[in-house]
Amino acid sequence: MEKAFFFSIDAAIGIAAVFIAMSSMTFLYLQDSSGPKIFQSTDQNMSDSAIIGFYLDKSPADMGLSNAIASSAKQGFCGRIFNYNPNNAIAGMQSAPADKNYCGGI
Amino acid sequence: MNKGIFSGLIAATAIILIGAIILTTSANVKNNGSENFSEKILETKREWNNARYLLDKTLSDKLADSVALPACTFTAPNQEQIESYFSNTIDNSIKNCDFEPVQITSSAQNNFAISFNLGCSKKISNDFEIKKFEKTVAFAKKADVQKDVPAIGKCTITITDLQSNIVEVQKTLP
Amino acid sequence: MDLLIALIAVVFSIGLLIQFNETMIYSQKEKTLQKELEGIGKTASMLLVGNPQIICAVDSAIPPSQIGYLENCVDSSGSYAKITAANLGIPTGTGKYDFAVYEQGLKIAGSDFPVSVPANIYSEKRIVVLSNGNVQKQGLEICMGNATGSCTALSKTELAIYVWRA
Repeated sequence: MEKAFFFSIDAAIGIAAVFIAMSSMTFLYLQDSSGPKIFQSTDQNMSDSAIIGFYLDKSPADMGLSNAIASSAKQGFCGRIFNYNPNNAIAGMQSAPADKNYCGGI
Repeated sequence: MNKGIFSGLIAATAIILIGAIILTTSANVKNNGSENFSEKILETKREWNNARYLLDKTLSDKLADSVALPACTFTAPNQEQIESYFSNTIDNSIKNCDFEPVQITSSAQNNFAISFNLGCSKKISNDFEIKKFEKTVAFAKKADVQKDVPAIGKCTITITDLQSNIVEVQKTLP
Repeated sequence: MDLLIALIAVVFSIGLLIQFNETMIYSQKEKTLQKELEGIGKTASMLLVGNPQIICAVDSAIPPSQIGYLENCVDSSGSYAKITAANLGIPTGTGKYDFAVYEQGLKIAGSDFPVSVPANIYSEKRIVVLSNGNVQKQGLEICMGNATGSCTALSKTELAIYVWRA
């Protein structure tokens, strides 16, 4: 390359490239959103819903959820609770626990 | 002087600069993910509560099943019989809970009482397990059996939970 | 002349590196503080629904009178007197942390937000039931559908907990 004022154009291009790279990295790295952050984890919501549904005899639908994760969901979680009805009709035979799933997905 | 020296100097500085930036960036505080262990602890306590509830109802189930038919007579279950029902319940529900030997503190028909230790733990990974959440549990039930017509009638079994005064089992069997 | 320019460029680059380092250190410190806030916030959220000092005790009709606690059940007695920084595991004081708990948009515990809103506030919503004092096991069984009657012992609501650096 022809020698220019900055003794060579390649050196000038090199310096420019370094500065651009540095500025980009600094800018990207220091990006920060300001303001209050509201956080609601998906699995926490399901776990909370499961225990509340248990206390109040509410179905998953009552809690705005479903009893299984939709196949179209990219991720999901279920809160699970068990119930037991000792009042079975068969004499001498033990009842079995029954599970209820409170599921949600996104 | 060879003009290449200055270009080389600039290039070397640029390389050192970029290297230093990379080193500094990679030394950044790692996000340890903090797997939300506190929620796992809460989950363990919830499971313990659920297990307690299941075993509470299981005892009522066992007492109801301790009525001989057609005689309609109640025989208080023993420790092994209660533990067998308890094991079935735990094996088919909250598997990370277990119980220590059941103690029958009263075997009276109108106040059948037991106590035992119930503990639940949770595995986070192959090397990490949350410490067992363990507490003593006590239940008390009343068993009523009535034959509507002596010797030939139907048998009505009523199991009442003494802690809540709620009838948990009421069935009439031939 | 070329040497002078080269040296200036090198010195300038080193200066830039030092400044970048300073920025990185500051950014790392901010991230550390943020992580600390998140840790305290998550723990406080867990304690709000799981600390026996805050959640509802269950009473039995026969001795022993108290037979357990209900997770995700918050004792609202005494205007939520049990929801304190100590019970939520939040270190308070100058340079430490502060908190607030809201129920359906109304503050029920903690402090008002400072006039100059902090840069970061950790917050979580929790679905809970409320009970004014201890829950009788009978009332709980009715709410759970194990006995006839209307459920008056528990009421469902949502709480929001906010934690920020004081």
